[in-house]
Amino acid sequence: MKITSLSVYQITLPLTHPYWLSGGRLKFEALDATLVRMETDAGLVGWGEGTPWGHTYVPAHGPGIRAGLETMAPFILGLDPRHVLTVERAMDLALPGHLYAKSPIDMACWDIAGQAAGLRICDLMGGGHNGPFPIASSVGAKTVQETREVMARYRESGYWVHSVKVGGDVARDIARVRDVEAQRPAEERILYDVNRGWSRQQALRVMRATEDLGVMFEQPGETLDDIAAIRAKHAAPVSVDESLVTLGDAVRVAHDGLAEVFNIKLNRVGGLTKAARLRDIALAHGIDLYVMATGGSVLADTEALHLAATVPQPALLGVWACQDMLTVDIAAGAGPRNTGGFLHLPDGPGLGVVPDPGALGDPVAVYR
Amino acid sequence: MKITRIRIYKTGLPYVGGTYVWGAGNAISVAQASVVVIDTDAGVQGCGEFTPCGENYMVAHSEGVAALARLVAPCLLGEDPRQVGRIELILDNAVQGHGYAKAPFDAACWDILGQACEQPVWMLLGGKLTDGAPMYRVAPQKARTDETIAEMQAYRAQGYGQFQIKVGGNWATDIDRIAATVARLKPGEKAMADANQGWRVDNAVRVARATRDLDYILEQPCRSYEECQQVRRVATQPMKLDECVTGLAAAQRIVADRGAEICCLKISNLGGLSKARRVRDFLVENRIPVVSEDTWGGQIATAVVAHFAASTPPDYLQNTTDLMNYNTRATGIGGPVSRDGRLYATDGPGLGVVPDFESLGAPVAEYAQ
Repeated sequence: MKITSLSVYQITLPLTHPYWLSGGRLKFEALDATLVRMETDAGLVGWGEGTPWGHTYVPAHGPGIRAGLETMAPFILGLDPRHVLTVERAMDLALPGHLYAKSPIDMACWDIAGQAAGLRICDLMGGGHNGPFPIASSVGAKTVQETREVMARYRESGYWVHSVKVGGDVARDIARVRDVEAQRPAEERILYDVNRGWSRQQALRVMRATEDLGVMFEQPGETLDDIAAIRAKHAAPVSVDESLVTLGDAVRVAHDGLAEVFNIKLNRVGGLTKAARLRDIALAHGIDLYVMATGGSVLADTEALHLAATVPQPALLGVWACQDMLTVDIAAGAGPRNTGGFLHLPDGPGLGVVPDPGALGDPVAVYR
Repeated sequence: MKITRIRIYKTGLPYVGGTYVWGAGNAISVAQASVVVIDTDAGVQGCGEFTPCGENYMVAHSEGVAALARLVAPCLLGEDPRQVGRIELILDNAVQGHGYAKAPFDAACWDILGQACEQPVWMLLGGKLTDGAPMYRVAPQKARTDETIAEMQAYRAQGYGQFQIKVGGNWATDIDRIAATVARLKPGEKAMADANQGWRVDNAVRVARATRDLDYILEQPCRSYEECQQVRRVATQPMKLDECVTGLAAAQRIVADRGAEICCLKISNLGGLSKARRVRDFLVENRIPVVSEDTWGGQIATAVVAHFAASTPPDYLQNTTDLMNYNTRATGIGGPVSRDGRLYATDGPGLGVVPDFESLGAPVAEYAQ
């Protein structure tokens, strides 16, 4: 089987509400999504998606994906898409780095490989379970009162895993963490996501002031160096997110004991093939996981769900449904949807969801 | 002063020697240059260039500049290009990383700043500390070592006294290549054996051991900084690091570990002149000599390299490169001149080079207010 063409689509996915990153440093109003339709000489068609969270969240931007596809396409055409490692090597040789530009190709290959084998992607990866896959909320409120209101709304919809965004002001962060913990039902799982928003001294002050609560923080500093520097001075479990990109990062975190949790976002780490290695490093070191899309449509959510399904249940802390934050649905109700705060894997082979014909307009580039 | 228009050009630069072969099986015959031209309401125009040494040499490809421009050009229009620190912030706030694609925008603003105050860029960087920077010349991999020796002899006749021997492929023949070329150096000449990340650690160790009696500089033997340090524990040659010198954090690590004797500063790999200057000053302050160069390029990229070299203290400037002399086509008119093995930055205002619009052809993108 050979890849015969790659059609690239660009679509803007507006957010239902403007989104402010932790600490209010960056505002996001729409996502720039790139969809790839991969055709083969066997008649199978695979879909890939690469949607960074805006252009400023991490070093990944929409035009950069399409530029990367332009550079890599000649090296991908003609390869067997079922040989995902061959395709991965070809991409890595054609274009060092730029992992975020590679994830849509990798995803489309897995989609085709699954269809060709008659298996779901998660089963082709070694075997998937059927959940449950609790969706993490995204609580971007500022004050104590707003936080209570937003979390109440999520709880009414069935959510019991939460990501509460903090960062920016030490006193306010401490007050919010204390209030959220005072209101928290015993069974709920709450992660305080700093999104790199603290300097080292801010991190230490909040983490030590909340030590009695035993809460967990995500990405409490800009870099792994920052996280390592404060490691011995606080008692809180830590999740790494933005600074977990390469296998080398994962090895460092695991070996140096910098975190207890990985948050794997598929687009950032370069797709399923590379993400699976991060997963294995985590599981081999007793590190638990959140698995999610960086952003994007139901296709990106589904890709992440397949990887989540390969993480043994006790180690999987949560997933995410970016689709709920968008005003555009490119697959009208199809694929995994939020039911009572949970996602459910589709049964069909491959990815299990395709975009509606016509939802994407004309391709912005076609490579044959 | 305000930026009123930004144009992006792309053009191919063929290698003067046909095919340029280096590292573990890398080769290019035509490099793809991206040139950024910035116009202002004051009539001053600035230019910058990024040209990778092939699409897969580093985390930097030629499509990246035009892609970045789509996001940053709207943010730059209306801004004062003379405020290069503010421009750097705007670029970094608009898109994270992708420093190589930001470099030509940064350079074009330095060019405008220099013209606006009628000073060469080397003056704005602290002055002319090196008048005529010593150059090295690359001897790419050839099928036979005697071809490399003949090529070195031709460069010697042109005044070059430092040679970079490209290795990094087959470690066993690389040993012969190093031995044959280093043995023929004249007194006072220097050689670097550059593997361009191409060797595995065990093979790099074999090469270093087999050539331990020869006086040459071992350059970037393996892929990562850590692997190079692994080689360094047994290699006795001075080590020059190149591809893994990606910014201030990498430089700080090198200084803390004393991880190299020489650092190659590729301006685009560091994210442009504004950032490269900070890295250079930090390394020089810690008495680690540097090389001023870039991945590849025509007259515009070389102009930045020449001003950067001119403003580096001579004791800590290992050498520089006349990149424009590696191509048969041009990106700019004017720019630095090479003479008797040295590269001289221009003394006129700004970068001292203007885009060669005939060679560049029509812009691939244009952004205007």
